[in-house]
Amino acid sequence: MEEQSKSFQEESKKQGGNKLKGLIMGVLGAVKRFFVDNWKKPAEGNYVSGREVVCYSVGGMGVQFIAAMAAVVPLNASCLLLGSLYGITPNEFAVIGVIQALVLLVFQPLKAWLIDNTPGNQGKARPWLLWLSIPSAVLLSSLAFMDPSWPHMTMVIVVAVIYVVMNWIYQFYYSQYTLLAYVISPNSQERANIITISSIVYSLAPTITGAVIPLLANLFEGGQLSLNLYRVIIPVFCALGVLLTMLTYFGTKERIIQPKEYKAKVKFWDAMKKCVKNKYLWIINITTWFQFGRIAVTGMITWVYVYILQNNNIQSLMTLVMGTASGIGMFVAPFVIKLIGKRNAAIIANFLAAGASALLIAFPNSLPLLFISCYLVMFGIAVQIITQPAMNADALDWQQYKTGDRYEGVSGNLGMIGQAIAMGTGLVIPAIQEAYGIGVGGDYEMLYDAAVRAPMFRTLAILAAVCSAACAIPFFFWDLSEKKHRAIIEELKVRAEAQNIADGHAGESVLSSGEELSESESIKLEEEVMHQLEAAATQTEGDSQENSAPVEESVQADAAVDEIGTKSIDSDDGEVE
Amino acid sequence: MKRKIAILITIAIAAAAVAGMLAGCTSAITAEEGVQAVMDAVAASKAFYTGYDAAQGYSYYIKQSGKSEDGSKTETVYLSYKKGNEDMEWNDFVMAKYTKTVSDAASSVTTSEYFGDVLPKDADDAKENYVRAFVDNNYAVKALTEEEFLALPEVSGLTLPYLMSLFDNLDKEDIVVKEGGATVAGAVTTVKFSVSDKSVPLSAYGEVIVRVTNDKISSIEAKQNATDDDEDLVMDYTLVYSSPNMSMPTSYTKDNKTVEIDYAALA
Repeated sequence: MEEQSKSFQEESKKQGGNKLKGLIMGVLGAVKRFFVDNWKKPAEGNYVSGREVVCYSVGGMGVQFIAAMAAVVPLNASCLLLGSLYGITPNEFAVIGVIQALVLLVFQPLKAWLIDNTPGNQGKARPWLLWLSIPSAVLLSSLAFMDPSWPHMTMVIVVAVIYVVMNWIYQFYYSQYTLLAYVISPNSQERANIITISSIVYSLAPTITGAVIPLLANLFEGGQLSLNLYRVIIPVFCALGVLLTMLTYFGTKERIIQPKEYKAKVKFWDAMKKCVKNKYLWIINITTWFQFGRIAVTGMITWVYVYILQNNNIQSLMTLVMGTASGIGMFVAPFVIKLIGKRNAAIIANFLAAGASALLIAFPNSLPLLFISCYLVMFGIAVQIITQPAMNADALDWQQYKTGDRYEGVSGNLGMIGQAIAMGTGLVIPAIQEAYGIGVGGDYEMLYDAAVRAPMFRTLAILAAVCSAACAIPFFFWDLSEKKHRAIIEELKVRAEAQNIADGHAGESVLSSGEELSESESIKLEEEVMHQLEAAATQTEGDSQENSAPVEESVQADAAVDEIGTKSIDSDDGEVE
Repeated sequence: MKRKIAILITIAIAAAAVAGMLAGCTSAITAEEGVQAVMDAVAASKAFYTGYDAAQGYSYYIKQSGKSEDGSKTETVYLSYKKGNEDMEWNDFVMAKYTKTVSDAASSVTTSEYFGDVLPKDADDAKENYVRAFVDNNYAVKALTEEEFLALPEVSGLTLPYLMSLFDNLDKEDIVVKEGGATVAGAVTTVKFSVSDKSVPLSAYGEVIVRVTNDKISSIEAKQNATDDDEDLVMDYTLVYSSPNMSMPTSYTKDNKTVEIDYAALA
């Protein structure tokens, strides 16, 4: 019996060892395929080479360095530069926030029009990344060079004007990096994988700045409350950001499925009428209305470091640790998506953030619990960093399937409703902070006192828990499964190929980048199109014989294309009906 | 589907509008309530350093903001003060730091002075080995008593007892609340008033603005004349009943070299 038990244990160990070995070999194999086999040529079924993924990802670090500097000057009371050093109060932040939200709202249609009618033929996202990187960097840097001796209102007005202009340009610039992920490949799983890889790589940027800045702060008297610190770090990291952004521009391509002769002519109201019927875009937008509250606690992590922890070296370490939350979350996201789908991943991630925030309601003064809660919230948000753009891209593909046009720019106009809502919700957190005495009269030193900050933390934890749950609920209505999306992409390829044939461009690329599909895919597509054209032509021929009129081949082809275009994908199993 | 979305949007916009309206909502209180709040807060703030638990000690942090003498720069001075060391069961342990920051668009210069009980290098961590030292902003070290430190010109105007002495001889009847000058927003009560009794130090100012947070005085501001703009404060103090972590310096940099501070000479 004992011998049997021993041999069973040895067998289990051997199997466990084999599984581990298998896992390691699998990972090594994937790495080799990425860096060697598919470095210049994408894998079968994919569209993007390893080299292009690296350019997108490393270039993303540039965008994130600039974003990290924008995060150093957030428009809320936890901003050490604008709040503690320049003395701007939470309510003044809220007013500037309302103004910048109004500006974003009013100029959103202009931004949408600019995106959908980008001059040149370099795509919709890449040109704006190039053109807007330098203005974003310069305006951000200028915020560190205000004169603290100015009268208070002068300071508020100057900061407000620069911030509002900077924010419009910076948000435009930042959104184009995300937009590029929607159009870099028509393969949804590949997009999710690229978003994951790039997110892990580019998240190094805020991790680096989060670790380096507190250490640099040790060199300045006053530490992170020294103006000179910001006059060094913001220009330096912004310049680095601009340089790395160039890598994304020069190293990537945009790939939309479209006929060769397709010319986008986006009429604003026509596009808006079509977008408002896209329930998937609505679901994504509704969830964003509640995201303001999801970060109620994590948004104060800087205060935790400066006013509670008060140790730059430990802060540097904790920033690295906290950075792993986002890295791990983004890394596991594609696996989770593959296992349970994007919809379920989004729901679970948000409920995880809700539960983590609820922990602080009972123990608002516990520093370890604060870090654990922030870690789990960041993890949940990181998963949604992958799912949300991936789902947004799927929604845009569905839009093209339904109406025949790409509306990357105009679809963003649905976000105007969220921006209008944000003008009210943006006042909630500052109001809570000032209601507990934080930042009143420009004074943030109240945060040193646990008796003052604990009730505020509790209230913010309640807000975070409620809003996180509210972010999850809209996804219960999402029924655009991965299988359904794959069928949509195949249908779009068939339509584009059929239109190419009708326009006399048979065999030419159906991708906007001009690249050819893989041989097997091309053959399969050609066969499918010919089959459908013949079926449609037979149908049309039958109709035209009744009319007894001669039918020209190109007209037959056009009719066949129309026939293909009316096919619908309605069932959840993705079958074309 | 369209109706559901329309209803959701309407509810969300309405909720956001209500949130926006309630946000920063300040409600007025009566002048009597404002006066009572100030008197209670002064008593609580005084009790903080007169009636504290000796075993736990207490600490505070005072910030004063203002203009430089020529008006071209902003000067901010801070005093962090800690009394008592619970770990060492030392009721008279003292640690204090005075910091001055002078800023303008081109530069920001910060200097600090330190006072407190410090262990000389290589000495065993025992109460009897500590020495009480003062380190000025050039890192020169000398012996000083606590009374002498708190009487230094740059420090004396930043202590909690000094700020509370501004309210000496103040009775309820002496407080004349400005019309509409008593408000409450969450945990913060703000009272704008003048003082009629000339024996009260605050009577020298045309308008005093006091904020009470968590039932203690958290801010004292004053204008020379009641008609002055809000920007023209002649007094601007922030009071926090806790202090940041601090310790006596052990070294400094001079001519790119690290110089160790030797406290043993004071032993």
